Amino acid sequence: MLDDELREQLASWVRPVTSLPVPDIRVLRRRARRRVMGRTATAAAIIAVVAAAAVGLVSGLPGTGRPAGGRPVTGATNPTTPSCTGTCVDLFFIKEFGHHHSPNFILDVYQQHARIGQPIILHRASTNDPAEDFRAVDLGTVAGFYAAGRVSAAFALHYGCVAGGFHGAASRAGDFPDCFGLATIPYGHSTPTGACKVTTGCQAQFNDPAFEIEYTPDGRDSGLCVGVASTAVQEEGVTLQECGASSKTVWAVDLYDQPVESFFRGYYPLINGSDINFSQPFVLNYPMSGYPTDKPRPQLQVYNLTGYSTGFPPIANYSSVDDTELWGADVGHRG
Amino acid sequence: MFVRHDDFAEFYQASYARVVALVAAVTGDRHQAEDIAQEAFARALIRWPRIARYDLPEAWVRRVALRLTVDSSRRMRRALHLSARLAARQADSGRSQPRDPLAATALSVALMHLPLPQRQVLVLYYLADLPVDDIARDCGVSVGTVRNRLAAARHRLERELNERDEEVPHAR
Repeated sequence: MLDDELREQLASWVRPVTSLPVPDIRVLRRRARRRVMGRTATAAAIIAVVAAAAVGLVSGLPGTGRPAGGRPVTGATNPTTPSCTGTCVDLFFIKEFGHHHSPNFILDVYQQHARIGQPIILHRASTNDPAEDFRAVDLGTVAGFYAAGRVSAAFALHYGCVAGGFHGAASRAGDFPDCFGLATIPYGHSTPTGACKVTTGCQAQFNDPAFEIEYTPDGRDSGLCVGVASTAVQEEGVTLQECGASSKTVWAVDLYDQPVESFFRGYYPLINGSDINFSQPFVLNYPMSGYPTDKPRPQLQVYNLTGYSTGFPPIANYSSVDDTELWGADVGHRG
Repeated sequence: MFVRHDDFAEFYQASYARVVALVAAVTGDRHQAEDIAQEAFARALIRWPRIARYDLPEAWVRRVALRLTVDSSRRMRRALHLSARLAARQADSGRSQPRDPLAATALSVALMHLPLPQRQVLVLYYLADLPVDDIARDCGVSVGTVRNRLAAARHRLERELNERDEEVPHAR
């Protein structure tokens, strides 16, 4: 059959379909809403658990010896290699690819090469693949990284709860260097953007947790961490970079912007420390159209956070962040 | 939450028919195609603030729809085989009917006999008129793989059609 003939026959075959009426957009909206609601707890349940979960938040963060979801780790399901003991961490993609009990696809160094610039991909979780061994290092807060000169003042101001011009009662909550938790700036007190004009207080801030992710094949330090080669830009590929050298290998856990059900299940956006876009920060992202078994392997990238910056976590943002930007962590205890 | 993006409605109206036609050609099932296309557009609606910034938002929807086709195909493989056999029986029994509808039916039956990856590539190339590079991106494979699949699909389609109707002109 000639190409043109095939083209023409295909077109005529599907022609009746193209003349079908386009369904009302409300059908789509209902469908979209159902889809979102299907993965979101009800508002009542959210409000009910906020207070209780806030208490357990600290113990659920990376670096406290427990997985981000606050669940105890069981070695039986941990996919790191046996020699990668104690603090190995598996980062994996939420929802379509896995969850805490079954990570499925986790961070992986392409072809295992421990060298600067090596792409980071996702690969099926395995107990015998050293390319999947990572360890969270320099666990701390954004304010701590700022104190160490590792992230910029602007970054710390947005994610580190660094007081800057805060005064009065707010300064107690927002003082540098350790002001983890909410900091409400009272009416009339100064904020980084001027005096607070809201009678109930101004935007609360977190001192977000921050860390580096070092590649540790078979438990050996490589001195190379997951990061970007230059200041984060849209769709910049994530690669191995020298640990401890710059902000480009620092990742801050964005407690502000995640769907609420992810917030409490331990899935967070990770903002790159070199970020200078504070309205839509660059976060660790898996290409939306990619799948880990695709060839060539899709490389992790940094991408603008899709959430809305409403200023108070996480209820207002509960459905706005793409699953491709939410990460969970389990800490390995094998060996 | 989702409804503030008026340009989505415009985009949806303009591209819906194309996406449905594409999926219908891949699945051979109009209703399934409509369902898949709507699901793809619903996902686009959720992510519209981001997708709207793309050069070709339709390419994103098309890509998602193709992946949904694969998922759906896995679930409905048995049903698809059944409907293909049924369609083949209908095509065989209708040889005395006018040529155009017969050719279309024979083509659809032959298409359904192709493996899904080959069918996708063939439809994207001949129906959507996409260049090989774009098809590679949509299918998440290399350009070489697309060329191989295309050649294999053409060869197999030609064989299928020849087996069904000797009057169909030979491929080059």
